[in-house]
Amino acid sequence: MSKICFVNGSPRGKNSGSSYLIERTVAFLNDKKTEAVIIYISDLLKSGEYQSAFESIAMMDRIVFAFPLYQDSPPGIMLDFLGKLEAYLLTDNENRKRDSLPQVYAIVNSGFIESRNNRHALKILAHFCRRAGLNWQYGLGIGAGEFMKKQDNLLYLWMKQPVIKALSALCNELENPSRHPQDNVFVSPGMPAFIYNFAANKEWRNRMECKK
Amino acid sequence: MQVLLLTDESDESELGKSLKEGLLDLIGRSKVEARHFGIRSGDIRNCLGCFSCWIKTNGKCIIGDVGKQISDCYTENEFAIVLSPVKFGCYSTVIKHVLDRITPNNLPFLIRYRNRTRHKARYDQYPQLVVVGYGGDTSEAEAQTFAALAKANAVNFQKESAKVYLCRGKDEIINITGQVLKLMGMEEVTV
Ligand SMILES: Cc1cc2nc3c(=O)[nH]c(=O)nc-3n(C[C@H](O)[C@H](O)[C@H](O)COP(=O)(O)O)c2cc1C
Repeated sequence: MSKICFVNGSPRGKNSGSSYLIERTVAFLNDKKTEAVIIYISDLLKSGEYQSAFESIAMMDRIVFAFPLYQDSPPGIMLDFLGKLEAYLLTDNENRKRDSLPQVYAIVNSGFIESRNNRHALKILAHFCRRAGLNWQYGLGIGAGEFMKKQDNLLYLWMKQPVIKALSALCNELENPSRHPQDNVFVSPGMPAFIYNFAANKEWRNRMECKK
Repeated sequence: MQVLLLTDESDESELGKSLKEGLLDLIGRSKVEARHFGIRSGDIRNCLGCFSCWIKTNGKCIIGDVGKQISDCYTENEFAIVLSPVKFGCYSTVIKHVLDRITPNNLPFLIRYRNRTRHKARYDQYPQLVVVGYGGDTSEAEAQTFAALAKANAVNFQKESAKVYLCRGKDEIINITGQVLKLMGMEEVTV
């Protein structure tokens, strides 16, 4: 039974696109082969109880960081968490004795439909792994994250297919990890940018309570 | 000329301190009027991702700390100079919180510009972004990520690109701070 930890780095916690993407991936996992745990950084911020989270992360076979893109990079709370985790992993002797440290994956979702905008954030995760002595595997950069979070209907499910396929492939990888790091995968829901932007702008106008 | 200077006061590295002092010294002897925010980790909260600034408050953050002060005055400056330790090819947590928190200066609306999506500007003018990353052990790969990221940030904040410097040691400080001053159209002061 391999242990997989999903770390949700969205300040919105359970109510986030990152949460949707994690749940989708977990649903694909075979629970006879894998045990999945989800940690919310937004909860750790409130409780300040990092120690037990770090201890459990260090014992995992695989870690999947899922977070939104903020200014082309991980949100401040993700960076804070990565810095603390690095410090823990580099000072805790028990971890140094383990022969294999966890393999790391990431799912980054952005507001813009251009999935490649997530590339810097994924590189930052790879740099973190190198510093913390973890094994970077690969990441998914997903565009139009706010759309992915929307409740499924037939049309939306069809549009979401490219992303759902990538999550399913990630699930296969989590169950049968490759020996070497793979290339990052960039994917968005199937629709042209101008249609996505038009729909997003209409929605912003509807949501706005202040001057438009 | 009005300039915004952002530094991370939680970072206690000698390199960071010397770089900040060097830049402040040069600015002090020039005609630049700098609004300096030295931010400590306890001073600034993270962006909550609540979008209140976009749908409720016309571009004002609902958290009333230094992050809001910086966001409120961001576009009043001709230049925004960011001094940050390079952490994993990104900014330090404190500086990243600041960048996340100046998001209210854009409108939520998406437009196409040169075949790419960007936000519609809320204001007519935005400062030129100047980013100075520092760290003695920054790898080449991290430096490349950092520079690419800073340039992407400038585009998000309505500019064509950012001017990015990387300072790996104290011997580079005079050169880098001199270049930053020159960039702002100021005479280089002989030290
Ligand atoms: C402070 C802030 C900065 C953001 N910066 C970007 C950005 O640079 N590029 C982008 O495509 N989306 C950006 N977004 C949009 C988020 O990535 C998007 O809303 C995402 O779907 C949120 O995911 P979550 O629900 O998992 O938090 C930003 C959002 C916030 C609140």
